[in-house]
Amino acid sequence: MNSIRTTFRIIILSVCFQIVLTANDTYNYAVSGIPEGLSENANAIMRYYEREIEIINSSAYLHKERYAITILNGKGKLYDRLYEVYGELIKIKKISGVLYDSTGKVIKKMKLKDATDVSSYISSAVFHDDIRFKMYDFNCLQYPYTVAFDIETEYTTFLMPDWIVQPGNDIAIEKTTFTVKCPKELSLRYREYLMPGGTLLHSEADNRIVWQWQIVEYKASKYQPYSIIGNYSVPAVAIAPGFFQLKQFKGDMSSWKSFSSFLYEMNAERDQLPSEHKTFIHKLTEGFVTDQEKINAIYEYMQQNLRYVAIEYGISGWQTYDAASVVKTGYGDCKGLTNYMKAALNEIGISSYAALVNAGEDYYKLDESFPSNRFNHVILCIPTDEDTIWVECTSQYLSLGYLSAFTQDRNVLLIKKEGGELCRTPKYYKQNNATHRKIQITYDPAQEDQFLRIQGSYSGMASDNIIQFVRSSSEKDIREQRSEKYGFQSAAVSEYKQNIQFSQFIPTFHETISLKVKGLFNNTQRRVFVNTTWYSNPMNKIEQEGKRTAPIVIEKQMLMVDTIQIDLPREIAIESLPTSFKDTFPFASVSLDVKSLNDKIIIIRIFEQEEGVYDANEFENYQKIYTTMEKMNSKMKIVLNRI
Amino acid sequence: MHFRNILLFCCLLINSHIVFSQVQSIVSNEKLLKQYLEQSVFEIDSSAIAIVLYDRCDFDFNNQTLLAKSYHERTIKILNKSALDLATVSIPLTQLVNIRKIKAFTYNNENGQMVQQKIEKEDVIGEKLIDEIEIYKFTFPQVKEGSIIHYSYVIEYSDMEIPSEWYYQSDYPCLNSIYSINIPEVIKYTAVERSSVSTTIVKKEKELEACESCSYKVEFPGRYVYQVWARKNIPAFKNEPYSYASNNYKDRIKFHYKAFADDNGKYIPINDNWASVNKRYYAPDTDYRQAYNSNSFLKKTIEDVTDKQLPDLDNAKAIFKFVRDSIQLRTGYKKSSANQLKYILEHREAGYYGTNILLTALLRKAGFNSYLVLLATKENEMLNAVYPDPGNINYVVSLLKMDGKEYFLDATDKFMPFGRLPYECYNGFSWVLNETGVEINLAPENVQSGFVGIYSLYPDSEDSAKLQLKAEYMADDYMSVTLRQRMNEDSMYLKKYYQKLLDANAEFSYDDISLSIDNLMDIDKNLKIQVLTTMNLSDDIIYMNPYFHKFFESNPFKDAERSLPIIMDHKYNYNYVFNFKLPKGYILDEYPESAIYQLSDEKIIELTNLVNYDQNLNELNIRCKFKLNSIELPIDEYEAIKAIFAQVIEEQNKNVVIKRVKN
Repeated sequence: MNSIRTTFRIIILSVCFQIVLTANDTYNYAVSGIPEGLSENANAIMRYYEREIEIINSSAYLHKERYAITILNGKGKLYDRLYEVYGELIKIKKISGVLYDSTGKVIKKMKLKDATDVSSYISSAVFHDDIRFKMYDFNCLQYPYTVAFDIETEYTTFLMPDWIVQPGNDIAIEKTTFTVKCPKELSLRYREYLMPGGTLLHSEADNRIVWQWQIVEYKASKYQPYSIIGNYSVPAVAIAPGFFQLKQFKGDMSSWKSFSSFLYEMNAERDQLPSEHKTFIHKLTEGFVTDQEKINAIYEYMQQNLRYVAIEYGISGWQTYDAASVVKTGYGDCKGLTNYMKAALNEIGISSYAALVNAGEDYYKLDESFPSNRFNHVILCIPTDEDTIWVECTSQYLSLGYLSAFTQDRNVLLIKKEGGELCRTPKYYKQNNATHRKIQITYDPAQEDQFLRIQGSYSGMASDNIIQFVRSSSEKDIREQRSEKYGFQSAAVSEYKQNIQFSQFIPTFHETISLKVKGLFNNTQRRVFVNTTWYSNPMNKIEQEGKRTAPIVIEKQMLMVDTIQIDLPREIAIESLPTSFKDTFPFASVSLDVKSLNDKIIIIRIFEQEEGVYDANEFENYQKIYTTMEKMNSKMKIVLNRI
Repeated sequence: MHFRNILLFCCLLINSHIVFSQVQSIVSNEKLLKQYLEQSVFEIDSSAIAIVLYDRCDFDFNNQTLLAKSYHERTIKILNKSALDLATVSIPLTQLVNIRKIKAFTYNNENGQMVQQKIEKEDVIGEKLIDEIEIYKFTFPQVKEGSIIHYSYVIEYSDMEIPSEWYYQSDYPCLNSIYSINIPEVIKYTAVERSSVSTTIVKKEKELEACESCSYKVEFPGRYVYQVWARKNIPAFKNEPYSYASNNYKDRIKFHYKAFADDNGKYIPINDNWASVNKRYYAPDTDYRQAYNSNSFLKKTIEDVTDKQLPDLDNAKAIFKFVRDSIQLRTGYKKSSANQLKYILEHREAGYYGTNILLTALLRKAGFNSYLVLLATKENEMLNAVYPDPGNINYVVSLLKMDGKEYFLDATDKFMPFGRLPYECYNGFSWVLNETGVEINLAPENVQSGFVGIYSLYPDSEDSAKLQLKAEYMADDYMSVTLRQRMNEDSMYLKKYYQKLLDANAEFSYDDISLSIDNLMDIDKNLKIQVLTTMNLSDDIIYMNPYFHKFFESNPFKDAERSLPIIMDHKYNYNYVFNFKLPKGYILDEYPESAIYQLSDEKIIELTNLVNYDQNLNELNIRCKFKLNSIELPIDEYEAIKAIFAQVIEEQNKNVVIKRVKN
């Protein structure tokens, strides 16, 4: 990280200062005013960015944002668009914007009324919410040009935006400032990430705390994929409330426990099932002995009969729909479905807790020591005598206790009346995140089409997509998709079998495909070359310009074992086989074990990837192993000879 | 000007006749509904994830308001969870229409009993989507595998609206599809039906009930015409690669409006033929007409851009280059607006239409014969020569006639050379707009894309363990456009491409590649690429794939069956040459035999792979050529087409074997 830190200069303001947002009417917007050297690697320059959060009281704050960005070329254009969210809990008070040409001359002005008003329904998977956008694009193409916006919004929610010094690696920052003003008694908190020491100016007056951070001349850099450790790659400041109020609900976010308690209170008494449904739940589970069997019966019922529909208007973005309405409509969002499942379990005497989580494969890692709201999803945690069962209530395809890549291995906040705590979801280690495939080829030189049998087993996260696909598709589509996956030039499936097994809540998908394939062998007069184009490369390709200076971050461990067995007829001899080898690096290893046994060739490729943060010096090795894996797709020469 | 606006002037003295066809709704037949609820597999398609049981629309005019309303009804059986999205319905509407009487029900079979659940009025949500578009949405309760969902609504139009088309086919199989119109007699229309089964005209409406594909029509002289179509058991439409837009194939009825009667009963042509469309579009107040006005303000630009000393063609090219290179394309622009050309010239920015209208206007101002060509691009339905459908026009290009030659021009693409149009423009029937107008066929047959790739491998003069590779690539004009577009998106594209190609194909390790590109910025010249690298010899026996440049990565035709016509984007002319001077001490132990494949006697597809090894010179020479001589491939030869493309890949996967020999 040292190299990044040296790219900017920190301005420490004088001890006594007054925080007033810069009056930018006199600012020189001409491109000539950009400090020398700041345009290097940049597609855009943030001329100034000023964010101010002024906490009015426990339930409202003003958010003021003023910024000017010079767009240097077409690639920087993504930074010039206004895209302002508003809704039931976020009101836009002011928007104005100005377009300047390269000399700083005003070309065009805009106001709130000029912005396009767009419903979030166009871009989100939510069926109904209150979120809308104000969008505006000056549509300028005469580079370079500058856009400046002045935006003021009022928030009546406890969500507070982070201040991240640089919105993208290709935008350089001339000057950026973050100011927070808050009544002292509300116990607002902040947390710096990657911030150099001494950046903060702190003052107190009239029972108000004022914090201000400022950074100038932060340079753009070349993109280095897979390099972010944690949540930020550049300096950032997060703030979170202490005492707050959402509508009529009062809360305290200064500890996970108190925040959990607030969420419990907001959702209290919403888990009441209609009496006839209570009876139904008892009937549904009465034949089962163990808690796990009963839980599974309810989960399966839910998967068959309830579906995910997100209605998150206003406070219903935070407060669950009550269980009775989910029973009535047969749908709910993650909160509603989780609350229903919790209520149904409660009815048969099984306790469970809703667990707030930041879901997705690219997710926000909770800072345990800085309670703040970073959640976007809810799952259910069911502690049992044997083990804790985690349930993803929105999926109609996952099996009980399996969370998939969506929510595995991360901190979640349990919602409890007395206040909950952070808890960790299960991690799927590589033995349980594995692909095993055996491709058996019976070579018949007399035939144009060769017979192949593929036996595959995919466990844990390696099975996520396949299981969802198989459970939602027709037999015909499954056959087509599974045979095309291997990249044969032409393939006809004669038999397809599949089943799913579970062990310790982890699914394994097994399939057997029998098929006839064209183009598997390529003949010359005396020789036969075997094509191995089905060898997929599971590694992420890292494309970057210039020297790698940032670490390599690998988030997932995996195991992949591919076996090829070629049964040869008598008239065919082996001329050449690939050489066995093993390459081992800290982040991954690949081995090829090649054997010929009488009339058989057996080749086993094993690839293992380890999660972790690896030094930039490993980049060359990463590229080497990546290339090795790529080449196996075409260059693994298996050459046979006609006797 | 829109057809809708013309019709506003039309006085429609008709009686109200709210008619609904006799084909019975599924939900009104409890017995049938129960039967469908119990049914989990449907003969029409045993692998379907949902079946449309009933799909209907009745389009009707009101005699009081002279405005129309349409009744819509849909009943769907959900067979698989992956079809649950169908249970959320969104109806986008403009501000000129109202939606009323939304009714929606879910039906489930619970313990042998049919249970019906209704969507309450308050659960229908209306919201502004963007600008003048509103959306009404609702989601059905209690939907699961096996459920039947049913909804209906009425749309009331506050502006003149006429029915346009009705698609029998969708992504799901449909058991019953019914469409009816009740249209004033003053509007003369033709219902153009496309159907995979022939339609029977029945005499009594009741007969529609039992008919597979029927139509019933009754005329009330002086008042209106009532017509209804009913189809049963319509398979789902499956899109296939390499075909025209799906709307060219789906079973449907499309209404073609020929004329309407004015107050005096005189019929005024609307889209009677393309000449009448031409008349409307060439009228003085239209945006298109700007290209044909005197446009004196263009004079200075012409003086600046052209040179009287130069031949006409050079000046035409200069004008084209000026528009292409200096006008910035702004998407989201309306087709055109008043005084647009002046604005475009001043601000140097325009949409697709404005750019090519300006180009045509400038060419004309310079004294050349240039005209606008109106067309529908390939993602759209093709324009119909017999039943004019100007609503499908979505693009305009320029035609220049000079010295007996025709040049088609599109100045909106910064990488498009003079005299070339994007592939998307070659979509058949197009219309040249001028005083009289004339049709023109922009056939994809006229477009060819190709290249010559010459790869030479020869011994390094200084190091016997090394080979020099020189790869030359000469793109034709269309291939040059494609490569420039890719380079514009990623300036490293070609370097990455050659690295990948060498990684995949070479049997040797290689040094850093040196890449030079000629004419990258000179759009009117074809792109030339040269790659140099050194490759290292290592083994005594080398298995080498000599086809560095593959024509295809994979077979474009993989589906087991094909039902749509096969239409390629362009003709192909791909050429690969490999010259290999073997280093001293190595011989060619084995190499592929020459092969020639062709589809049909007409050589619709040709693959020539000529391999020659000159033992004396120790040189291998390969000439591989792939030609696609027709863009339309015969569907009855699908298996052979699939096989020949597989053969192209197989030929280029062939290897040579090089052996070190003792000196």
